Amino acid sequence: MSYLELENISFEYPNQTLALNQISLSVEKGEKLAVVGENGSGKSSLFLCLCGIHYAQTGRYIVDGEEQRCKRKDRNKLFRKVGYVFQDPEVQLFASTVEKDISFGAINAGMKGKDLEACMDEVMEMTQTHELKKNPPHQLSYGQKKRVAIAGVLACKPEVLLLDEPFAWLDNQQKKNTIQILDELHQQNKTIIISTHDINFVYEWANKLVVMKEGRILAKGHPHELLEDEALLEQAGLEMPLILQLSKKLNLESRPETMEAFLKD
Amino acid sequence: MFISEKYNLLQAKLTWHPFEKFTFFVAFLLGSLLTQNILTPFLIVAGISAFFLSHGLSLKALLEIAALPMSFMLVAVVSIICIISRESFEAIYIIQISDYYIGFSQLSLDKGIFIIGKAMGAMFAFYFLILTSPIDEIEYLLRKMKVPDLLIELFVLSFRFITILLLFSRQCYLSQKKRMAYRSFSSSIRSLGMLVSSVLVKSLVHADFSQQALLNRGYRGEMKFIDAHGSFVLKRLILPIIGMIGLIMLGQFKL
Repeated sequence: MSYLELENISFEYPNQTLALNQISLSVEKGEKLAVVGENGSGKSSLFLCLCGIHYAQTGRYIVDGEEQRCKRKDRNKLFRKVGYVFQDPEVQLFASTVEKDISFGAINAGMKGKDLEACMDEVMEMTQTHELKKNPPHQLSYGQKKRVAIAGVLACKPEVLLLDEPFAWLDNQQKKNTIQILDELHQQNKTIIISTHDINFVYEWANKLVVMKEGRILAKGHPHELLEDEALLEQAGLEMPLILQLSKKLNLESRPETMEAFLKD
Repeated sequence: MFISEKYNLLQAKLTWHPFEKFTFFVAFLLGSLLTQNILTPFLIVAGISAFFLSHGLSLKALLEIAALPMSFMLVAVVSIICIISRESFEAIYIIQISDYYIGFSQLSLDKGIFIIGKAMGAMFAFYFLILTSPIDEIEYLLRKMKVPDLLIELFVLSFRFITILLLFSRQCYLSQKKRMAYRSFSSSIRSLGMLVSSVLVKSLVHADFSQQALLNRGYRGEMKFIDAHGSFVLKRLILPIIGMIGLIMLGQFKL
């Protein structure tokens, strides 16, 4: 059985907006999954359901073989398995210093003493937030806030990490740093699910892609296959990745996996 | 921007334990409030000013923070110094307006100066605390003083929300201003109203997202953080306590 299983999940907001419509999805452990789609396609709602903040009105949600029910107890257990990094780090950072903010989730996950210190050191090392630890969040740059927000979620030691638009408003260097963090997490066999509009990144990074529109899944599969499907891209309002566009233009037989490989060839 | 943020160079330089700073603050505060003479508050203001200047605060910044409470203080003190009476009285300066005599006597002047001194001493004691202690040290002190968790969490969240909303309202104000929203009195009033309502909506939306983010990190109605301040050596309290006793005793002399 997959680590995360969604079976015919539907979710409607109180104002009767149907955000998710019969979603079925399975995610294996260690997978790098990207969710793409236009604004309002249901990506964020899907993430909120996956981390247990929203409970689907219909369907089944199974995490690590355990079905999640609409109970507080389930949510309290779920945060140790599925962590969610919000698009806007401002909503996530609330403590008076970076160090305290990062420690919040770890303490809630039951860590204390040496374990807590080791966990804090590990996530601060990974996210390069050591030198910021005494700073209050409002004195940080946007990129730094984003890194602290990721560190705060990683400190809960989740198996699955959901990142909503992790590169939004980041400069190139900060984007590279974030990708480095994602790669490091992947090496630790963590499952990473991101929602993004950066189709070039998706093509190079993800090993599974989910295309959403109006609360439904239009297609799921390997990005190299899906992103060549022009009809699907048009239906989802997406652009073809630059590598594929160039490869087609140059009539290349092979499809390079990364831009770096493309430029080398 | 908060005053503690604007002049936060002292916070970075001073590595004392929060309790040590707090004891000095209490010493200065009690020294100012329990005094019977003007000398003690004067010494406190001069001492704290010298401390600030020696730790890198510029004279201009010092005068700026000293001037902050002055407007409120002067209004309050003028009402004490000024005497308005229908009968003439012994005064340093007096004028008659219609049937009334307005002026001030030596006694009222002494009293006014004494109150200003006391208030400035207490104000500088507070400046000492907020300019040397970052917000997390204040939070630490509140926790150690067993202030109810609910109040501390409110304090932490309010501070965070205020910083975000200040930033948002500044951006919103600039965007309005660039579109000539404050060109006349009536449009200013309308724009200000729109600004306030958008800040209110933003705060509601933000609070909703923040709650989701807290739940996502295992929030169950209690905020616990790492204690990064280490243990406190009682020996370090000797100097501030001696200072406190000295200032209170000095304040009891009638000069």
